[in-house]
Amino acid sequence: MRVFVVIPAYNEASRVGDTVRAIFALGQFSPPLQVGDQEGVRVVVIDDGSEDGTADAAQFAGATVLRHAVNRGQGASLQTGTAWALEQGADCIVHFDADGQFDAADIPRAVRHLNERGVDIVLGSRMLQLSSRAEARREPESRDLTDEISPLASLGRNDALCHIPATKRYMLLPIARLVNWAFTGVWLTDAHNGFRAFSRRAAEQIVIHHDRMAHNTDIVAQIRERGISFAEMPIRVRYNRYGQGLGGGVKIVADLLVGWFL
Amino acid sequence: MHIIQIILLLFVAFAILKTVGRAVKRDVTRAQLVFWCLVWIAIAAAAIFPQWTVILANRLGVGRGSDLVLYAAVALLLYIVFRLTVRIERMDRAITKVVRHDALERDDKK
Repeated sequence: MRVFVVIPAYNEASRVGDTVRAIFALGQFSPPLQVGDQEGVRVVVIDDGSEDGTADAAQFAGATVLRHAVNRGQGASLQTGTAWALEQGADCIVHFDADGQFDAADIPRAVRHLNERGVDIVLGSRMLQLSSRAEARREPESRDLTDEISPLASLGRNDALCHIPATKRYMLLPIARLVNWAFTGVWLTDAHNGFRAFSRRAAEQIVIHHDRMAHNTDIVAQIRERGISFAEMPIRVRYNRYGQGLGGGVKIVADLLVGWFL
Repeated sequence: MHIIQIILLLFVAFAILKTVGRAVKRDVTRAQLVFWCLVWIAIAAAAIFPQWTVILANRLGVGRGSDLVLYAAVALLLYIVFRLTVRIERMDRAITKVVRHDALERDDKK
């Protein structure tokens, strides 16, 4: 199985190298991912018009780099990377952030989710909780663990995995989930989580239209429209920056509304 | 005639000239030319005969003629902003397609 990790990056020279190296450090994934694949996982970084040497840092770390001549936004970069990965014959495509907030160990877990649960898309969630057994087995040899989502996934109590800033967890995320539901009709445990894995079949069906941050809602809306099977999976997020704030959320809603008239 | 009326009429004359100029260069369609000329003529009429706006305002249930003009102007501006926003977003997406094509093309040439 050819797994491609797509990483959009804009002015991330200081972090993207470590992010790419962390993925390569996983080595060959445990079965079934290494089946007949000499190259293991391929990482493609889309340098979205950066001005700080992001492309060089990513290339030095071993990633394939595609360059946007001018900044087009995260959604545009993800679509570029996904299109390229499909061209290269990807069987599975994972969207991953460049800023080092995601855990590379979640990539093989997501791919296993796709294979074992028979779904076409896995969406990362900061709000789902790993069962204590899975969490205990997570370190240090956790790459191929079979995780179990707690049947009573305790929303907002994922302290073991993520240290979500309080204003984000209790104010912004509930609103974002509601807005996401209003626009897509899909009620997810998390909103605007950039970690997701697609089977080839799903990646071929979904085309990201929103260039900026509204792409997340765009993807979920298309999942529903096309009836693509999906599952959420708990992931670990380490916050080294706040990310989307209230202003960003307002822009997303504005982009979504404008998108109706295109 | 008050100074404000003269200023408004001069502005309308300038705007009509610019609109016609744009139409000659085919930057605007004939329908857009007619629409904008009607808008400018309506503004000129309101400047010359302000009492007309009062009559119209009273018919519509708005207190003063100037209020009616203001409401109409705000509504028109909002509509124009909306049209421009949609057009900019369309252009944005077109630019993205070009940038994406370029990024993928450059990779092919490596």
